Amino acid sequence: MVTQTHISLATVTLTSADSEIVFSSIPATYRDLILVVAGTSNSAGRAFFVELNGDTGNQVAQYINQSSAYSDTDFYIISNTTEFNAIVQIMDYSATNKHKVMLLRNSSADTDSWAGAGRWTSTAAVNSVRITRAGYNLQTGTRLSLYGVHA
Amino acid sequence: MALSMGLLGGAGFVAPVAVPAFDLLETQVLTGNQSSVNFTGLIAKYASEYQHLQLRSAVRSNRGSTVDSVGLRFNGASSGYAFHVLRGLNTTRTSYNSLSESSLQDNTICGNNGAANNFGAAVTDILDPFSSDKMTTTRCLDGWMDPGENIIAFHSGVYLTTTPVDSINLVSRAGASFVAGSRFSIYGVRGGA
Repeated sequence: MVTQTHISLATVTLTSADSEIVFSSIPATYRDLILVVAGTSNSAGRAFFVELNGDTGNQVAQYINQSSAYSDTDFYIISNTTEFNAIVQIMDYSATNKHKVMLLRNSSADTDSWAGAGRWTSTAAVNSVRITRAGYNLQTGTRLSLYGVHA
Repeated sequence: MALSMGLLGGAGFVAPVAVPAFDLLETQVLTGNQSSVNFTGLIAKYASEYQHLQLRSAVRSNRGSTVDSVGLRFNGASSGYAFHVLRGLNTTRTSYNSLSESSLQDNTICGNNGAANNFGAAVTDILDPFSSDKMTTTRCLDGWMDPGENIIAFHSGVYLTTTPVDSINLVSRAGASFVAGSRFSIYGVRGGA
């Protein structure tokens, strides 16, 4: 029996600039989450961290773009003052026997094309996703959507 | 070419009906070690409804190393594949390809010596697998991170035959087994009405 998947859980379109957006009380009903972000920020190339369950640490990440590759201790999306978009796959978010792997496609067409992977070194089920960068904002009109994927 | 969304109407026009386009078809979550994972009978079950497939996975093997990779095959064929990979490994960007392989190199995963609870994840699109007039192509985004070694990669692949895909077969390219907790899910994507 097939199951319709990619269920829209929440969408927010910013009516004012904001440095922090949190999707909370995420049910453990699904297997994966997909976070889609499209909009602008107030600082070109500024990273906005993607934090799970309010944990500001315990991450490792790897990135590649057209000119470089590097590792980092934070997982983030790269914003821009012109339109950018990012799709983050949070795999097996509700599993309690795995660290959480995140896969990123991130584009800012007039500057960069990125891919990234992150690992949150916790086996806890994810119940919140925070997109944040202190001192910087995602601008009015930026849309952030969260989808649940059955498995 | 403009595609009408049914807003203008007109004689003979039939308004499209919204149909869910992305369905979970099957999932396997391993409860013990397995040397392969197979999805079979795909044509009879899905070809009439879906145009593309997507494979979503989080996988670990028991290879005696920190790392392994998943080999993706179709119809049980152990030859007739080509792939290209663009990869970021720590501070190094690399690209490589093979034009004659025993499987598609689909994604990097954690081996037995990797950090506990660490699984490599991937999202693989399998395009037009049921068509008999084109070769099946794949595209994959995958990531795996272990202390000291971090990978993000794009893979593209082709199954060098127009034979429709009736089975998907996943193996460890190192000849190891996938371990308990490894998860493989396939999804169907409908074509336009």
